[in-house]
Amino acid sequence: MILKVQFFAAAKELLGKSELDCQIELDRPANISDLKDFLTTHHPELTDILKTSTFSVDRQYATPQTVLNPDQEIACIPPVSGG
Amino acid sequence: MIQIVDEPIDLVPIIAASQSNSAGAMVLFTGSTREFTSGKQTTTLKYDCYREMALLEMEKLREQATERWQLVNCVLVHRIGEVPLGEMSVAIATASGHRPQAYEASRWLIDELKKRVPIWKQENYADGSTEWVHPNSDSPANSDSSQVCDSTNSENSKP
Repeated sequence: MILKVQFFAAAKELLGKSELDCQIELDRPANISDLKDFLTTHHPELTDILKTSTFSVDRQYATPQTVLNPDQEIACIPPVSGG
Repeated sequence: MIQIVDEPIDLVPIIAASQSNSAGAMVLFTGSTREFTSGKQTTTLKYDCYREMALLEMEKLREQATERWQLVNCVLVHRIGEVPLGEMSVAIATASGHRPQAYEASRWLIDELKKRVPIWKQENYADGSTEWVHPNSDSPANSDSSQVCDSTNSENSKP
């Protein structure tokens, strides 16, 4: 399945774009942990920022076990620094 | 009132939105771009955000603070884009029947906003370098254990 993932701040800058299509083929539904593995493998430039980043699914913070499908709005959330 | 704005923050409508006949106290907190952080000179801050989710998280904070401190009104406004030195990036107004609740809620709201709301600042230094500020905090989903600093520029961002 193809997951569309949004990136912000340093992650966006390292990737060079704000959105990425991730094609993940597993014999079970992929979760956030699988997505992180995919990104680390295919985009090693994100390795460091992924260590401290979390993810959101449909605008809610997700856990490593959150199961993904292509209809969801998925985003990589590096440590936040608003205020 | 929850807003993310691209222009300078106007305090007049924020104060107006927080006023009420049942509020005996209103606390207004603002955070601004500071020139020096850990000896480095900042020329401007630039903010990125995940707007849709940031608004949802700010709304959650407003609801939680309103319930916990029985606030009469609660306003959260964050500016994004470029914020020059001395200008406000965030404003929080809390109104309550008596002042202790408004003060406590104000402090909690800015601390939680810095931990949970998907907004990021980029330092633009006088030496021409730039740096995204990503504190080495725990996941915002476990926000109670992550680090907080009480000023707008982050002190704990340096590698």
